[in-house]
Amino acid sequence: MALIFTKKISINNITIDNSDTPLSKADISEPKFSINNESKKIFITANEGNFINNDEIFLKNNVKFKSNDFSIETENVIFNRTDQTAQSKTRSIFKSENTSISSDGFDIQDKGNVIIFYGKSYLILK
Amino acid sequence: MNIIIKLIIILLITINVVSKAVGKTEITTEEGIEVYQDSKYYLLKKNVHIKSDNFNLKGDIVKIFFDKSLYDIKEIEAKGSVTFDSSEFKINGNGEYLNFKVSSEEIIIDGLNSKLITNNINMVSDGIIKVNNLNGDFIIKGKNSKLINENILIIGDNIKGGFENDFNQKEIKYLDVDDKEISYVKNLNTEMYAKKINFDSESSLIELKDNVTIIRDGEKIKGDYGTLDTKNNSYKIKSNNKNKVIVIIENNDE
Repeated sequence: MALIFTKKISINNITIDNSDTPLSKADISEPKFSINNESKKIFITANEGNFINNDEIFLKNNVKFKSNDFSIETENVIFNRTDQTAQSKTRSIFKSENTSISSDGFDIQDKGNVIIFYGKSYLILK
Repeated sequence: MNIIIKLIIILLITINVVSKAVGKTEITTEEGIEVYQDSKYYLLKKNVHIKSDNFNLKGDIVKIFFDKSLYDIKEIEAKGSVTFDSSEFKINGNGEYLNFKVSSEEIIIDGLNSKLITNNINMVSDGIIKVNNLNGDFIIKGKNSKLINENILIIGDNIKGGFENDFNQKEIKYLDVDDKEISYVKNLNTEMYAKKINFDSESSLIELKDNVTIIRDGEKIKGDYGTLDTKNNSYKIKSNNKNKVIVIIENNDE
């Protein structure tokens, strides 16, 4: 049974700080991206976006992730186009059918199949 | 059987709260939530507290398997200082590990000082307490395993039994108790010791094997094999040594 609990992904080694990224001028206005996996497509929108490098884009203000199953809203996200990952350290709200999760940020991995919510988290099941 | 009913009532109510939008279930964690959508489970990390209208559960780590959506719960695993209680149904328990499977209506509590307590029956063990509502079976296995209610006390390293499949009764249908050292059953005014103690409600006989001792009204009878008929409260003891007298005492004060 202990094996079940060992199959987890540690979030301790992940350090991101995109809450105060000093970018003032947007490279992209109202950027739109998507994360695709075999079973679903996750659409990503924001008010503004700035290129950090060839792979990473800093999305800010009203960042939304939306799929058929769930949505996530937050303020700032770093999206990696190549890896199809996303990380946020700003307050985030996840909503799904009869379910909501609020957390101090999140990390989307494995093309959206794994979502890790950081810090003190609050899950409501209705 | 009452324990099974109450246990399942509270657990199903909890699941109802979780899965059928009756009320609201709040879950707090200190170190986040990991959602694995392909594997269909989510992991709640550190000082997890699940609160609903009638039920509380606390644990260090809780893993919840779901079917279609996160609220559609199939199985709950809690690990590390697990406690749960319901004030409304007066049931509580604790252990190092808890597993509850919704479809099979089976609960397992494991670890030192495991307890499952209701108004009528207490199950305690330093090993495993396992209860299945569908067939009424239970297992209490490990050091310091006990089943206690107002009429009976059972002590043994391995207590296996089943409740009558009648929700209005608390009667035990069958019971198998064994212990490498000695098992103990106290029923009304009779104390019984043996390595193996079995009970079958159809025959109404309690059967005692190896190192048998029966104590009643100040009398202590020893032998190798014994039976106690719960219908007329009479008992017999035999010894493998044929030179010993077989003692039969009948009590007609039923």
